[in-house]
Amino acid sequence: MNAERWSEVCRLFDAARELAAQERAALLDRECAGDSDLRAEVDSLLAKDEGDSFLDEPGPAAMPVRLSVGPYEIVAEIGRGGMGVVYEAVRRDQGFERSVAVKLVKRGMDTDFVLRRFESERRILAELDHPNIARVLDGGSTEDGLPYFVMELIRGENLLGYCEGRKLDVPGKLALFRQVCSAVTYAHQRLVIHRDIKPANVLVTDEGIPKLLDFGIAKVLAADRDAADRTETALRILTPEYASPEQILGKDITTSSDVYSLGVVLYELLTGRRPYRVETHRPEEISAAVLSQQPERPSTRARIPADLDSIVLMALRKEPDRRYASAEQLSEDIRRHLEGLPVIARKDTIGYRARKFLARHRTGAAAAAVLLVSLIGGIAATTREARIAERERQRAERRLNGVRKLTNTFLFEFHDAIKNLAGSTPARELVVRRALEYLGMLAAEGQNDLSLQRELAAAYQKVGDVQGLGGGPNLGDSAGALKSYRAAQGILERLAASGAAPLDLEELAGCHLRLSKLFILRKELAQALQEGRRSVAIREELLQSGAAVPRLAIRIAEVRRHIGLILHMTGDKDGAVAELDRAREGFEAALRTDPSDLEAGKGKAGTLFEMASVQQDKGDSLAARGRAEEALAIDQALLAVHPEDARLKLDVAMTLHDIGEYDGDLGERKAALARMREAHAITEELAAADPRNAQARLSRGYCMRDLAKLLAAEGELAEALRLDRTVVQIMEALLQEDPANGYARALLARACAGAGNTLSPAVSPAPMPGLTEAERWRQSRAWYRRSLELWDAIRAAGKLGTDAREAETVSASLARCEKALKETPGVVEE
Amino acid sequence: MPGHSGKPPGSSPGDVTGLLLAWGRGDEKALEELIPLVYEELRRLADRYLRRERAGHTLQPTALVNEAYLKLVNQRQVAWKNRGQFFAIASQTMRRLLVDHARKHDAEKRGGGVTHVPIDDAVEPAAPAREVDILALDRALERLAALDATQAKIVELRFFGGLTLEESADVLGTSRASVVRAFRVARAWLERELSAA
Repeated sequence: MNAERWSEVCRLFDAARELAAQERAALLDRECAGDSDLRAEVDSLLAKDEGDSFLDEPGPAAMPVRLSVGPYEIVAEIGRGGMGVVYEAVRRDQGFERSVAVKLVKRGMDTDFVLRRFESERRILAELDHPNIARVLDGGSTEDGLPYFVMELIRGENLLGYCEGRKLDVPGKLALFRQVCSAVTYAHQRLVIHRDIKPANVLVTDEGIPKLLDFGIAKVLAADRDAADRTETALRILTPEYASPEQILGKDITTSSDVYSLGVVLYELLTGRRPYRVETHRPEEISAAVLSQQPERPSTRARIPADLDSIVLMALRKEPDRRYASAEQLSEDIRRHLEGLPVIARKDTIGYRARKFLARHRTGAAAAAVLLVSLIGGIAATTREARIAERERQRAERRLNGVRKLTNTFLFEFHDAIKNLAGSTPARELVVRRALEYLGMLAAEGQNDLSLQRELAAAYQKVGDVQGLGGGPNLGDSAGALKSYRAAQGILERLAASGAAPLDLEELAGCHLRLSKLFILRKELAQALQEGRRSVAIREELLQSGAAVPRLAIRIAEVRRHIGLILHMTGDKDGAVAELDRAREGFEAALRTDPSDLEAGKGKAGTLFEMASVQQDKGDSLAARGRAEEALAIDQALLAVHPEDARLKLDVAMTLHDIGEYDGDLGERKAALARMREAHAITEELAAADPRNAQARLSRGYCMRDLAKLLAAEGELAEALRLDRTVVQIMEALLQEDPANGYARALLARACAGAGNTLSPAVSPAPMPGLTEAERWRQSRAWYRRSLELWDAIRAAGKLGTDAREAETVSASLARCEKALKETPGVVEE
Repeated sequence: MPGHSGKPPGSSPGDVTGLLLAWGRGDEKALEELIPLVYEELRRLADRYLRRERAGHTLQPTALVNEAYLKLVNQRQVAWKNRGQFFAIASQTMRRLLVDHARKHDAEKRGGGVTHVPIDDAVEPAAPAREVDILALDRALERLAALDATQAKIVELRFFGGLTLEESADVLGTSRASVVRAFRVARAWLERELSAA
């Protein structure tokens, strides 16, 4: 062959490869007539044109080798893949060296978008703390604009290599695999989907601990600005062999997609092969196989039991809702297989169950019943979790419109559904974090969209409630709550200024009420009163104008009760009584229309409760007790209808607490103690059920403190002291979380003074075994000092209010201690 | 683990950058000075990588070229045109280095057999590294160059320099379409030649 002939070959090759087979043959027949060598040459080249070539790899020139990535100094390259390069690196600027894995994303990704996504995900990813998950530590972009992620460096071998190298048997492989499932389950419960589970992402350490890598990274990199290029994105980023049909189709990705990928991994782990037969390894062909081929039964490729066949195939079903409902369920089914129990993947025939049952004839029929119940229960629980993750997935998945709609769904439906459930605080914290991230994004994007602005205002208020509103379960972050409410107020005022709709004004009134409640919690009463009056003024105006705002009368009564409460706290008893009477009238009017109205019922009970307290302050404890018992009767009736309502339980506890106080005022000490114990028991139960709930903890401390007071009066000094010390611990913890919590600080000051009183021989004459009188004086003095310091701090912050009297009492008690310590014979000051 | 030490002795980013710029302005002598600098740096890097290769690492020639480029050239001052020229030199150099390495390796094995340098661009165990016989590829490229020098050059740029077809078109001062055509036939030819071997 010479250059001239070669150029002829090239010309024909070029022309022919553009053509379909038939035309191609025609062209070559014509052009190579009589020159069979030429024809053979071109044909052989065309044959090679079809397949893969080592020259097809895109030039990694787009991926320069580096010495550092951000602040991380590269030690070695660990590997390269479709997404980019992974380095082992160290960070030296933090006083210690720590080896990490740095994943540098190759050019072609939209850096800004990836980083924005990462920012919204990073805290959640960083908090994935599970022994089988490699933690995501950091992320950022290089000087030249490439995104990178920093992860815990795992030294280990990938799952398949490890199993092969150690010649693990099937149960050994299954045990490893179940650990991977537990990592996936853990993440799903925290609303994170992996999206790219494959053996290369599971490293097994020398100690035999599997670690799942890259959690959430696929999502951050899935720069699907719109659904149209999702398929392409999926193919570019994912390993199609392990991707689920819905991922390949660019459809919504759910926890079920991870279950599918786990199924592929399990298939390969058990058989050494992938589930689908493909000729080439082109992504298109693999995708087509994933979508249309039924995987061969694993048992046709390896010796494995029939149950495992069923388990693998159930995980690999094309329809997400026909797979296992969760990774946990998959793992559980494997466990059942390992223990010889029936697996849910097998057809649920009586025969199958009976065989399994007979195989384990040691167990009785009762055990079988338990099994059945536990299967059903397990499915119900995991479905619920899957649904939560599903909702979260949807919210994160979509862009502006989707995010906006779902932010509301998420906050209003999800949060409302769980808010009164005891134990729900951590879940609600997660909701808040996610919500604030998305709200910030939305607020910036939709300035001119009125309905979006309304949704945003509502969402900010909801977030504020969860963060720190005193009246409901909250996270004790009053500063954060204030910020959220102010954000809502700002949006609503802008809406009101631009031609207000009645509902916008009603929302604004509601926002002022929330602010007012928050200020009470912060003991900023002047501000609280001001916000309350703004709220009632807006609502009265709406009522006058005949605006169609539902339940406006009840809402007005609500604010009036609230203002009465503030007036009472500021010491204006007459003003408080007047306001509370109007509130009660409002609630009663509503109850005449609908006696079963929960809100009106709670409102009336709350109003009576508050009236009782004012009457006590006016010196009429008998009238106070009457009011409080009325309130208790209403609350108890409501609780009978709504037994799961934690808020109602708390109301009952606080009312019992107050009745106990009035009993005490009236000299009925036994009755007082019984009521207080009852109240204390309810708050203990509530705080135990939801240990992160600041409101429940505060109420618990409150009842505990007053129980301690009554016990001390009965001479039960040791028990009283123990309770006050516990109150001190609870309040200290609360203040550490939210230093602006005024109630907690005041209660702390009270508990310290209470401990001082219990120890003071003058206040509590009963003996305290093991303590000398001098020692009691000294300890008492220390507690009083601490209490006084706290009251001083409260005074300095301008939040003393009506507690001034208590502070003075402590001051007097302290002076008495000092005097006693000087005068008591035998006491020597050290 | 081999660490990343400082700059190579006897060269600095300034040298290469200045030479590249001079060459870009039409100074042919700059090229003569440039090539040894690039070769030296690449050889140094390759030694390190090949040492690592023995410890189970795979050789990534294009990565070497990039690393050399980053070390030698001040990117802020050098326009893409010059960058392309650098890669043209580097890919040629890289080819020489790899061939030398393969020959030496063969000689060590007393001339026996073929040296396979695994070319691995994926960390997936699922996609086993395709091994390319560097010496066979080098010989095939020689034969291809005799038929069409441009086609051989394109393969060299792409395989040893990691350039994309667009970048190759820039370096060669021709259109992307003609580079694509030339590459397509060269690719088929090389596949056939190498699989026949």
